[in-house]
Amino acid sequence: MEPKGGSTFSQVFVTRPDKQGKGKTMKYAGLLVLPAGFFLSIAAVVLFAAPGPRAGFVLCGLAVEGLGLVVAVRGHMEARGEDN
Amino acid sequence: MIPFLASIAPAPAVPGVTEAAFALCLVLLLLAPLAIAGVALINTGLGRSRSAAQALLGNLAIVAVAAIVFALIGATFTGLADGAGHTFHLAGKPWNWLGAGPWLLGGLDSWTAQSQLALLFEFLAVALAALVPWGSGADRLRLTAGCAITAVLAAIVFPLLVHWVWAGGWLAQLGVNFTLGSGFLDPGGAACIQVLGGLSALAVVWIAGSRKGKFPKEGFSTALPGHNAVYILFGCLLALVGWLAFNVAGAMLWLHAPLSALAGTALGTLLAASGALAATFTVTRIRFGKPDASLCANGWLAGLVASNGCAALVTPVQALFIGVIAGIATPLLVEVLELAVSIDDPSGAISVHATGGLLGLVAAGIFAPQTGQLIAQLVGIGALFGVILPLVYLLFWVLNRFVPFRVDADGERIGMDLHELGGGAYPEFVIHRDESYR
Repeated sequence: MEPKGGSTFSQVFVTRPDKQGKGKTMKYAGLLVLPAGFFLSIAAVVLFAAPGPRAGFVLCGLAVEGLGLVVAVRGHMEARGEDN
Repeated sequence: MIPFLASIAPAPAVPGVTEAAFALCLVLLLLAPLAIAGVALINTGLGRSRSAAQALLGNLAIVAVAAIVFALIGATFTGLADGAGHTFHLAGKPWNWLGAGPWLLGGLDSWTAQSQLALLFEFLAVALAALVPWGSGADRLRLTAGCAITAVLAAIVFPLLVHWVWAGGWLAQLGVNFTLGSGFLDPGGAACIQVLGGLSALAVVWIAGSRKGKFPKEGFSTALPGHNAVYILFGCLLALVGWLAFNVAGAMLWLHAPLSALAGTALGTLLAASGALAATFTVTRIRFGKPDASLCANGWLAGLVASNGCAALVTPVQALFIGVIAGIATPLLVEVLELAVSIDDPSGAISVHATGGLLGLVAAGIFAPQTGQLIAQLVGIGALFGVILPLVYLLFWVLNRFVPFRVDADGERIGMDLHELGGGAYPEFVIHRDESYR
């Protein structure tokens, strides 16, 4: 159930038990992995001057982001039906 | 204070524009709102008839909120291409991460012609980007929530990204600082408008959830087709004019393309859309036995979206090829997202805007002649997924706690028009019983 107008602190910030679950955790975990992939790409640009290793590590960063996205999407699928 | 967060450094100067180029660019930008009109019609047509008035009013309200919030807050953090920005130093290089423009558009009259046109472009771009998640939240996203989402995008996320890409930020400077081609290139707004809109749409769908009855706990998803194919297809035609304007004006503003290059950009835009439509038409004809009007519209739009990233950088024939790929991928992706991944996206915004935009950005890197351009494009894509998506999700998650995105069950049952506006878009029509509520 969504908080309605005039929300108190507890209504706003306390996690609602019916929305808890494995799916949500997976989604948040996936979203946390995304910045890790980004920092890997940035590190590649900063640390490597040669095009080959730089491109390789940028691609590794994107692969990590892809992994995070897959986990987040899987988390969404786990929660399927909760809103219906 | 952290030492590397020290200074506000000036950005490199950009070339000025001639009077003829200024006039042409201004005329193009006056045509660009047709892209907004087109997307608004498509969003409305792809929703249900009992939510049509709310959908179209929402589109209008979103454009208004985006303009106001961007003028009051966003434009300051976007900064000017020839202006200053907040910079830190890392590994001996400056990282310009946030704009430092004047507050409340102060001194607009004294800005350079280039900066004034860039500002107008950004105003239109933020409105278009904010319309994308509204289409994905159709039939369950509250009007207030749509406006609040737009305010967050226009105040925080859009200015941040646009500064990085168009206003001399760190992505634009990848070429200068790290010899990666010409830095991250996004001449028509594939990243700043389309991918941002598509990722925001994904966050909205994740937070608001699917429409009631869309994904039963057992069995396949329920088909909830759009209510007006005429709106959708006419919206596609309007969008073509707007997209031509965005791409050509973008080439002038962000690539400083000469007048002789603009016809090629326009041709590339048209051919990308045409190739995409032909491909989607063929794919749906093979897949379903008959071409699907709604998916063909999605394909056309995906071609246009892909052209945002590359029409100014590739030959017309290459643009046609990119459009064909977008047209093949879009209907398949729409199906995968709905059937395999359980994402309820009525307007297909994630497939069309996010994926089409990514395709255009990658194509720009592949076909660009400069060494390292593809890596620059990939780093930009990494920033979109690694920073912008988590940031958007976090902001929307917090926003949802204060302004609930989703309408209550009763509102969803009777339709958004009656629930939020007190009257329907088609008062003389008989509304059929909804099979999905059995």
